[in-house]
Amino acid sequence: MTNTELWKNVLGEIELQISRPNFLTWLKQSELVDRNDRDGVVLVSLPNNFAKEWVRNRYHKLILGSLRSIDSSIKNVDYVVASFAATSAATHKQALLRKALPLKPQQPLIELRIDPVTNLNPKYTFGSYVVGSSNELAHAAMQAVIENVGTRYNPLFIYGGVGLGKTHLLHAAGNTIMERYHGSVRVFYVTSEKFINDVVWAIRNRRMEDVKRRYRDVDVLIVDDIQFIAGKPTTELEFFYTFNTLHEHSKQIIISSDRSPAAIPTLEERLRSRFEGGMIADISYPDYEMRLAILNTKTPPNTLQEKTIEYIATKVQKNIRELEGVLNKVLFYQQYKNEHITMKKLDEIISETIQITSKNITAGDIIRTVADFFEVPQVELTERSRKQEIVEPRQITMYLLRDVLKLSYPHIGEKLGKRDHTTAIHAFEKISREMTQNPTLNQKVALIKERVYKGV
Amino acid sequence: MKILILKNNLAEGVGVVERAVGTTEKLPSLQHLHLRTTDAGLTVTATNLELAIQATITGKILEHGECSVPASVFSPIVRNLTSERVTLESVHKVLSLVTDNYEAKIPGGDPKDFPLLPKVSEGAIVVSIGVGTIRRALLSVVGAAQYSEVRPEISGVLFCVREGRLFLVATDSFRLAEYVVPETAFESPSDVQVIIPLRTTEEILRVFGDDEEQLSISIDEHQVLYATPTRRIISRSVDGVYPEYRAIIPTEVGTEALVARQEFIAATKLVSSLAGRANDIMVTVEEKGKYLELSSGESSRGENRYRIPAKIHGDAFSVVFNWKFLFEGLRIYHGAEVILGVKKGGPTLITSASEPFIRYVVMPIRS
Repeated sequence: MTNTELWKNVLGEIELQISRPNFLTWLKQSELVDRNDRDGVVLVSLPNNFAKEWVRNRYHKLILGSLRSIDSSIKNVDYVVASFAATSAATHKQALLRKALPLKPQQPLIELRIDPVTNLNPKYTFGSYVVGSSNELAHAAMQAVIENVGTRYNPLFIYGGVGLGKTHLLHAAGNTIMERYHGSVRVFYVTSEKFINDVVWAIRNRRMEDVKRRYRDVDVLIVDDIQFIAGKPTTELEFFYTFNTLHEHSKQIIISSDRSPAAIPTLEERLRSRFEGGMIADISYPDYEMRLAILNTKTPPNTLQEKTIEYIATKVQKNIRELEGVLNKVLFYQQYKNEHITMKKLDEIISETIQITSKNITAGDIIRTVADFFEVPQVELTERSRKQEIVEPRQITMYLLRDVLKLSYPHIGEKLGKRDHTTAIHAFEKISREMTQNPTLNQKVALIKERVYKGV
Repeated sequence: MKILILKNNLAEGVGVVERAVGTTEKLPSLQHLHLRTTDAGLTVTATNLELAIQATITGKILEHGECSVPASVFSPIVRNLTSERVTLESVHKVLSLVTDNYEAKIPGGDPKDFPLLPKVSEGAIVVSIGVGTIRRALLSVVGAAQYSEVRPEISGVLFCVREGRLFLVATDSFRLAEYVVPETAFESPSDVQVIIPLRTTEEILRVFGDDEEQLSISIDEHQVLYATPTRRIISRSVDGVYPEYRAIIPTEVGTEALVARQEFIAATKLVSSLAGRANDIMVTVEEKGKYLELSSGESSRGENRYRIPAKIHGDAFSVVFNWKFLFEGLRIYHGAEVILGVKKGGPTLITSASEPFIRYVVMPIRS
């Protein structure tokens, strides 16, 4: 006999023994939700706390007797309150209010749609994710993971610079997994910052067990910006344990970082080797076609001229977030002024968006940062030394002086060992060219740039 | 049961609990008031199985006991009594109500049929807070919540003790209000988080009116008991996890406009007279402007604009709001000035320097 049949029989019997209003109020919406054969306890759900209190005090004997007459192995009955049915609270007034709300054009608070259980933001989907040569590996790896959760690439480690769409990819993957498996696979997205805060909180409040449970009781753990846990020993250790527990049970782990595991300096060796044990995929700078495709997806139809979009794609090269920033500004300007944008204004918008950080950076900052990065003495860069190990740092310095500060070539040559302006031009072109072909160089330059901007 | 009681006290107590009397339920006892004598006086209870309200009324007890009477009969009689004192006596399920010039006999039900109130478990966390404080906090935020069938978890007010402070938050997904109660104004043994159903917040505001009293809020897994020495509400909490709302409140805004609050309210009401069906009014600030301009309407329907002097810091902007949402965000403050913080494409933040513990966030209408 199934639980439903058993309960139906019991209710049929009880209905005869109590008044109809009582039956309708207290037992009509009850269900037998669980039956433990081992200790003979059945679990009955009731619509509210009042019903639970009433049934437990007044009908318990009746119910137990009736259950036992059908199945004598049943020893006891426990009661629970069913999950809050949304319909119970609606009052007439509230229903009226609901009708009066003009919801059509009102914009919602988007972050509120973030699922509090999974932390996933439904805004990010694969529908709005543009795939090109720079991210196709990461995208393909992610698709494989979605198809084979926990078995194909575990962990999947995605790295790439700021504003290239790592977070978008992670959320989209989580959302797709939730959708595809209809929520049967539990996904949990967390930034490493949140993870650190949780660990700190748990230590302070002695609630480590809570944190352990939250992070280990999932099928897919997505950790964004893992580089921030480097150099925080307790958090790293906790993450290490969590990682192992999940990995042992074939639970999927997806991690993102702004650089490859090998390039995170203070990361503990055992974590590094674990990250490298799965699949590592990088996202590099988008090429022109891809930038154009991104702009075209983000631009509402018939708002911008083709040449405006192309111009933005040519000018903004290194960061998709900046690309969107420029686009939004241009759209806003056009909407506000109600006129087509001029090239002059476009240049203005682009420069104010992407150069905002370079204002206080000096040539000295760049030279010092490059020297620190390659661990070479600063003077070597600015002297006429021709040592092999100095060549690349010096060329990178030249490239950055041009790229970040827009210094003139003669000035750059002058600053770095009184060289000819053609040397500077050659260096800039060489690095620019090689960056598109050599991901390691690309990575180095991006890291140095980041340090320059942060003033490290 | 026999008790001598002051009419005004009885009428007040009955008035407080009768709102919880069920109206649609099939069970007759749900339409009853339950009366029981205790050492403290007469306790009157009503419930609709969603929440229960209890009031204890002082009186001179002549004989202990309990009874249950239909609210629809008992409460109008009590309300309209003209004498100062009343004697209530229940014999064989019939309640007699006697004053010096009036007498009534009301057939009641079996008090044993009245629903049992669920008890808060032993391990409940008890938060203690002044009635005035919780009232101010709830009144500030509750207007931003809206009953939603789709999202029960936001159909209520978040009550959350964290990092030594108490946060009350409400949202209908278009706007959000947050009120922070400082450490000194409440006591809680630990962090706790519960979502209070909207209906219960209405009752809390109605039932607990004495700002000087201390309210103790006992929270367990399934329900919450709100109690003062003479009044009690027991209600379930909303299941579900409240959204991580903190990310919504903008930490920086593009343009700030400092405006006189009363004038802003007056302007919003006035300009709303020509607002369209979406309740849309536009708020505009020009480059280096000294005014906040509110406007609405279109040439066919009629249009209007209102200029309020403002101290503006930042770029020009033009945003369209549902004026009711804007109005609500101005109404919850009490100070002379508010700050409208606008971020392009994002939510607008309304704050007040004199009430830094309130924050109100509203999304614009897509224009």
